[in-house]
Amino acid sequence: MSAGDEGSGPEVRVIDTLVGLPEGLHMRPLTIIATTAADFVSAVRIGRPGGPSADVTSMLEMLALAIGPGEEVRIEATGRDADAAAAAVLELFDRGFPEPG
Amino acid sequence: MNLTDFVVPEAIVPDLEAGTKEEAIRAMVSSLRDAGSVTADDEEGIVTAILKREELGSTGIGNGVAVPHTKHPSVDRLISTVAIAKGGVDFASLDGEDVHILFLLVSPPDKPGDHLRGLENISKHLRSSTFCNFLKQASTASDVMDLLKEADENQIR
Repeated sequence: MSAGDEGSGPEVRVIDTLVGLPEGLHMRPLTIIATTAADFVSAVRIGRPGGPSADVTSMLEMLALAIGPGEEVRIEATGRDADAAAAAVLELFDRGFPEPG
Repeated sequence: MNLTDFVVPEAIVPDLEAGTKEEAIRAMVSSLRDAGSVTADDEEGIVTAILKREELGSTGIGNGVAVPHTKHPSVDRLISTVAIAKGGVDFASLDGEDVHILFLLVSPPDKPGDHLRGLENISKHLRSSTFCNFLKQASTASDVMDLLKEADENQIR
């Protein structure tokens, strides 16, 4: 076993942020989140801190959370590129969910 | 908010036969017009707005479900209709599967919260495969309405 294997469980990155969108997390931003998260191997979940969360690739689960404007959300990425995945999703919130392309 | 608060019973289409996404949307908006929930003058504008929204990305959200929607100033509250397409409709869904259950929503532009809560309600119930299976088997508008009522009363899990 090499030294590099130490603590090699799944990496987890948790970031809390606020929903700045005036209409909350409706389908368009959720689609953009799902598309962005698909570029990473890490699993990404979003929910209210301390509340239930959902896999961002499941539109039904995400819509059922009905996260509204101004709410605090927790982004949780799990996997070997968790840092990058969580940062990419956070950037969407920071930039107001620009359309891809 | 309950499903039966915003689904217009008279506009339910229990036997949708549509070859395309556009045909499905047209049939559903036409049904809202026949039910008196939207006027003939607004019908085309609503169809166009929904199709434009679909261009941004399909509202086929997986599990054989689609939720085409738009905001439109002609309505003063959230209204919706349900269609069951036993033969399926190609909706360019996120999971690539045909859709069999469609909830079409029209909401007033100044009430984005109602739109979000309507979608919350629909998705909360459509996560249940039992509910989806019952809906797909419904053959009349009253069957569909009964199922929506049962879902509102949490009798289907």
